[in-house]
Amino acid sequence: MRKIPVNELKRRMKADSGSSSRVHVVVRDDGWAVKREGASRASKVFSTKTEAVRGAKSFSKDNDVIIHRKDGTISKWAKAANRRS
Amino acid sequence: MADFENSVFINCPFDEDYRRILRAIIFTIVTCELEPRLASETSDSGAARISKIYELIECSKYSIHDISRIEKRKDPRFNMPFELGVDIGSRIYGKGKLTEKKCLILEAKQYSYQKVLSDLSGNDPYHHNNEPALAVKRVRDWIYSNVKRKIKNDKEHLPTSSLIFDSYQEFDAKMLDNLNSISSGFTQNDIDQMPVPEFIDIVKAAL
Repeated sequence: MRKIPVNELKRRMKADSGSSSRVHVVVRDDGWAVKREGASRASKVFSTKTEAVRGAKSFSKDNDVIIHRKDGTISKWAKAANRRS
Repeated sequence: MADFENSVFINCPFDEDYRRILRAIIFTIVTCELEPRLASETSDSGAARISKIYELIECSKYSIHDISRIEKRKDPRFNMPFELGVDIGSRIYGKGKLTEKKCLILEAKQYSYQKVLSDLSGNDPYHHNNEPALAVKRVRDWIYSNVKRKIKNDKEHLPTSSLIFDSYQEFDAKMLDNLNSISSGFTQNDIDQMPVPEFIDIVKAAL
């Protein structure tokens, strides 16, 4: 188990403006939504998770796409092409 | 130091299965500009845990009690209903500000309390189905209905429960991304093991 550098993490979280390039696929009562981080509304809601993931990747090629499980945990983090190492 | 009017005592399980719900509840409370208070906020082995709980009950106007673990299982836990009883007792037999206390009772499955804690009938526990999103909704809606002072001043700004849960998921990703920018190789598992007081500090820094 790695020790979390809490003070440095707090400093970075505080400085993080929220204007990130991340796009999230999250559950909704009526399906799965694609939502840009920090936005107050989803960009689009799909009836299935598969469609939502496909949609997120197609209209956010320059963004990381983060796919969440129903409980909110991250199931997959797809890096944008320009961030892949 | 948190004051009585803003403090929310959280009386809940601390096992691994519950962690995701606990963190969602903490995130909701901080988003609604209240102060989460838990027995785990100090780690003084010299102090009796129950004394700390009495102190938290006395200095928190609000409390959230999750009695999920009274369900029939291999190792049922009865600390939560005991502390709920102390909290309700403080409101009934206490004086002054203690009479203003308000509490939310949560359970995993609807009506599961009735077989083993029928004295609670009429108190309307709310179920969350072990789903963090539903726990966020229960807590957010309860705050909306009960924290009058804050609602009165800032009604239009209390976020919806789905927006709070979205923010919580984004917060998780942001935390992982920031950690990996400090030093690569951190995983969700490292974050999961973080002690509750540190988690609260980081939520406060992020919001």
